[in-house]
Amino acid sequence: MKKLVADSSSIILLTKCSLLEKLTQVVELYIPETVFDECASEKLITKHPDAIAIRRLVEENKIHVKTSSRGNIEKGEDEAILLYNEINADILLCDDGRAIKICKVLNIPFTTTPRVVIDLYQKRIIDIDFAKEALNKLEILGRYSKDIISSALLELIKKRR
Amino acid sequence: MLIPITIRISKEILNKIKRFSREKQIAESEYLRRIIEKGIKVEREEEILVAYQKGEIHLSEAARKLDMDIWDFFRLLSERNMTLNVSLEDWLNSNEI
Repeated sequence: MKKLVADSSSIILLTKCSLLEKLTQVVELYIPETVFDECASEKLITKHPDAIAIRRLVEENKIHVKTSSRGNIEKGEDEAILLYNEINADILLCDDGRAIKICKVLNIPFTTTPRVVIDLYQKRIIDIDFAKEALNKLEILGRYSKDIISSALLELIKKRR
Repeated sequence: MLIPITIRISKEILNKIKRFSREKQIAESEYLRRIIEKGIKVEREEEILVAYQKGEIHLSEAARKLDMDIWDFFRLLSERNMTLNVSLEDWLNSNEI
């Protein structure tokens, strides 16, 4: 299985689309401690009940929380990039334009949540209706632009089994 | 503790302050305090959202600067009818897992 490091935006988007646990079926998922705190701290769980799902997956050891050697640097995205290097991960999952810019400069292979949806469909973890629903949620709740979601839907249809 | 300050404003603005505070039945100073607080919040939010949209700051950084968590930041983007700062090119270049 590939080692994947994710940032907070991706963890939250996957949770909103009910895809987080499904992703752990196909990759070894790692997050820095800062990302865990940004998504599912004790305080957040009372405010955002969806965060419970993240905490449960960590407790079940389906998501691995790691502390970066440089300690907490307060920005989950930067810590995710550090962790990617420290654990020799295969890919970084992020839905943040600035983090993607950094990945391009550092030549780090990156992916985004809409791509994860298509890949989970291709790997037969989800069916086409689930994938379409997830992409719709990424537009409405995840604030992905219409052109990206349209492009992802087109790609999904091309790959239809 | 409230600290007094002195600022120079135009006659036109002063007339508006007098009129609006009278309409709200509050003191001019109270009305000014309210709109200054509101103005600072709006200005700060606008600056941070622009920096986020330009990719100058991370999403988590934008949320922190606005004293909100990332879950709420998604809601703010929705309220402002704004999108994530991920470009079509970023999406097209994203790798398979």
